Amino acid sequence: MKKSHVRLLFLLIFPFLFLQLFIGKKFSEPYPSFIFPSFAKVPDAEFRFDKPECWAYFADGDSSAVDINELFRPMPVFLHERILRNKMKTQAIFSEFTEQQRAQLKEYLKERISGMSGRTDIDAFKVKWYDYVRDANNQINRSYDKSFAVNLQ
Amino acid sequence: MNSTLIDKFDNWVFDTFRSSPESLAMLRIFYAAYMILITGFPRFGWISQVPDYFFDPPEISIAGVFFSGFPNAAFFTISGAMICLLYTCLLFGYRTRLVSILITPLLILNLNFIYSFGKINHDTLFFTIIPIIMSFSNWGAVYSLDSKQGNNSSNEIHYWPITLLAVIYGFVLFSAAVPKLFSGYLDPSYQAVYAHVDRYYHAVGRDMFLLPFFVTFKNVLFWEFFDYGAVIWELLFLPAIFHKPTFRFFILIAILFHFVNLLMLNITFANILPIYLFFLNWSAFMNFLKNRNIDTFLDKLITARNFLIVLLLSFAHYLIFDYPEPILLISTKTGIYISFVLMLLACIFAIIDLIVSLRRKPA
Repeated sequence: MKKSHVRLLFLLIFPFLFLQLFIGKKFSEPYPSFIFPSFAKVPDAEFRFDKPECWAYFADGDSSAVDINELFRPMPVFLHERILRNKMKTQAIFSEFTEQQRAQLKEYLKERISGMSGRTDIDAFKVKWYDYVRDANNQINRSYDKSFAVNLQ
Repeated sequence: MNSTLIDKFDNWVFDTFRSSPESLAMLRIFYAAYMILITGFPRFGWISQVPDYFFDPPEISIAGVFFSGFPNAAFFTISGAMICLLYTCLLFGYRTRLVSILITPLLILNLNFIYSFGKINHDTLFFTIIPIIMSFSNWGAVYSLDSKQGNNSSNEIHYWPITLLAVIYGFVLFSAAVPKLFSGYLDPSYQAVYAHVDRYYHAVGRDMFLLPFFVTFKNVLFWEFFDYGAVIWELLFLPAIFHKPTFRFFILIAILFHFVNLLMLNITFANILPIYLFFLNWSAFMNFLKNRNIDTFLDKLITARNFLIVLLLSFAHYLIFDYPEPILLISTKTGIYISFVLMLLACIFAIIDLIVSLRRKPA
């Protein structure tokens, strides 16, 4: 690369970096981009978070907790809760997908749960969301919030 | 622009990280070895097994624009095998320039699908862009099959790619600092770093190293020091790239920052470590290697026969072990412990590097 081209590259790189930062912050973060997470979001004064629990329900009325890490194996761990959060938080999300995509999800869940439990009579899969709130006594209290269910019959 | 300004600019761009062809070659070998032995060849095959229901790519990305679902298994098997092949070529310096140019887009394309589940991991950015940027440096000029087989069309060596990496590194930290200035992060009535410690312990469920201690430690001044320290350090990193000694000091702080993050929040940053290799005092490090004939030993290992052996082992490893991701991307305790050892070594190495630099060029 010619020296003059390198000089030009170094002059242009700064406006380019600022431009992609502007796009990333104003619209949507591109991939790849030269932006690091800021961890700048200041949580509410009230310490509150939510966590999911996964359950499988069987034809004979049995139910059992489903280990999230096992369910999504061999996906990387950092994606597990994110998937539940983005795609299995409210029932309304389910209806946003096509029939084919929903059928694919059902097939996937059936296969994974039957592999984990050794049972094929799976009726349903449910993600229950619990709210955790810290009270004035510094205790963290849990309460049921909402759920997402898929019929696997 | 007057000539003095242009000279200063040229000096910064072309000479800040000037070392030697041998140093660049060592960088190539260490980077490729780190990727092969520590990070591990990325595994992408699992992506084809998940339903398109999960497909949620970044809007502005190849996957977001050109794909409506995940590609099939053949796509990932072939691209994964190509990544194995290319990294082995890079390690041995075979067709180095071409291989360096190919690795980056191939990694970006595949990682794009890992990040098509609604989350982007940022610590892979540098190991992804290093090859294409360094392809302009001629880092395969020595200690390579290219040099032994006469494949090199040019002997010209360039050091400006390392300056470019420094610019990008400075900028990404700057990008992390800017939102903190406007979010209330620096509000003295609120300790942001402590809030993250609290959240990682109670909400995320991390409890390793010093996290259980720090969650009970509620000294306001201590946490304000971290709040302000982080923002000042991230903001000043960008101007620091124009002054090498300051930049070197900031690099040491960066490595310590990652280590403290690991101890305090259990966040691993080991995937980012390869970038720091590029900012080391390589002339001193090469003297160390040469005095012990390590460079000669490594050069002797670079043969066509060893290339084939490593390539076969890589393919065998790739086909036999089906773990889903580079080991350090795994947010498990094993991954965090491996990260701890690597970060500790990096801290020791960075401190030695800074001491050596200061002794060679006293202020």
